[in-house]
Amino acid sequence: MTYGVKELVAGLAEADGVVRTRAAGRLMTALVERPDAHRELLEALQVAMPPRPALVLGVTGAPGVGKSTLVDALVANVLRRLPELKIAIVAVDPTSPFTGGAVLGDRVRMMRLALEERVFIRSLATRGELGGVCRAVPGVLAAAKLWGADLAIVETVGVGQSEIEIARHADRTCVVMAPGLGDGVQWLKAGLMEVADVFIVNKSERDGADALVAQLTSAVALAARGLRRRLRANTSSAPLPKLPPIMAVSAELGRGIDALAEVFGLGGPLSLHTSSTTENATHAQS
Amino acid sequence: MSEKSSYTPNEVPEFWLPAGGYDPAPSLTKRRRILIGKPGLDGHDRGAKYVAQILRDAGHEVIYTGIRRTPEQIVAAAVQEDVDAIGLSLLSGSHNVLFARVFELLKARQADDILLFGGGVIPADDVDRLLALGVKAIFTPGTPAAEIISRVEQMLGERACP
Repeated sequence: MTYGVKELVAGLAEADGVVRTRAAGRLMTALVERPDAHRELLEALQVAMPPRPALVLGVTGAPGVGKSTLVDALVANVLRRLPELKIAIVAVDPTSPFTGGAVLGDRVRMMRLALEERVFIRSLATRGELGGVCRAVPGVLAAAKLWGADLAIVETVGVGQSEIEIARHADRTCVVMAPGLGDGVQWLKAGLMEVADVFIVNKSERDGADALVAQLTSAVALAARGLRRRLRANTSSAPLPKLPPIMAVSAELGRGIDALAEVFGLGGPLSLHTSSTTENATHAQS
Repeated sequence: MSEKSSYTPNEVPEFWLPAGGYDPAPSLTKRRRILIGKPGLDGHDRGAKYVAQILRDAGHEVIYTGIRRTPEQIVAAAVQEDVDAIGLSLLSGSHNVLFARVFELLKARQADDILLFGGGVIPADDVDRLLALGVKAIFTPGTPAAEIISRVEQMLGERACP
């Protein structure tokens, strides 16, 4: 199989799943390695804007808080709820600034998804980008959409306080936290805390998780007060933005994942919540 | 492994490069994607991790799948990641069966252009048999890092890149 964009796009239109998956993987490589492949893709598809899955979730947070494990648990949950949905996972790990090499290890936590026909996992290296993701993300999302992905989850490298590039790629950004990484002052700081659409407290079975949820609740409420004051000063009729929910989960034990899936369905274009409840209702009637 | 690392003081990246970032790899034709996996039931992953690390330090992107994977999982991952090569580490004695199965699956998924190499505790007779099967190289215990890197890069140099 070649790396020609036109041929790969043709391969992606075929019915044979083997050909499509192979073509999707190859198209991602072409888009990662060759900047001109993006233009070729738009030409081949005869569109002005690259395709994109209907909903793109961003998952970010410090190293070791359980981002990959959480993605694994969430995707396994959503696959059960929505039997038609196809999901792409884009997992980014750091490139060495010294050698240009990388070990991409997010898959290790997701091996139960490896044989799912409805899941496509692609690991990427940052290749010198410092914002937590890499420049190839939009291209890879386009190829994922052509493969058939309705939902994409982009997992960033383990980030600190200021890597917020994910918010430009994702429709909704989740900041994942775990107990034991700092006190309430950390949550007042600017940067990462400001781009969260959802806060996820993972490892909620551990000591300190309740305190973390309480601190976050207080920090979110405090930030909201400031925001309201600013908005009122500008236009009194502006609708107040929704506060980011704080979800306590344990990805390893599978706790809180249902509620988390519903959070993304309630306002997202896929409407996961509605379709899964409709389905249940249909089952109940029959 | 320091004897054959691609890192030299002259190649230290410019950390203060303005917006737009930098690409620390010398050239796109050099950097390859390699999947390192451990099929079968033995859990001795030190060799696999070591090879992953030396290939990383040689400037490649290494996808590590972890231990106790099936050939099906490894091949599915290799296709999605579009790797140039798969390296399998086996210390369980089941190398003849598992390499053959990986070959079979690669063919079924139209991905038999992905190169296959391996390593582990593999008797000399079986090494010959695996090479005859189409495995590009087998690295048995004691192979120097420099040799692994140069032979993997040599086999990858013959493969087309995007």
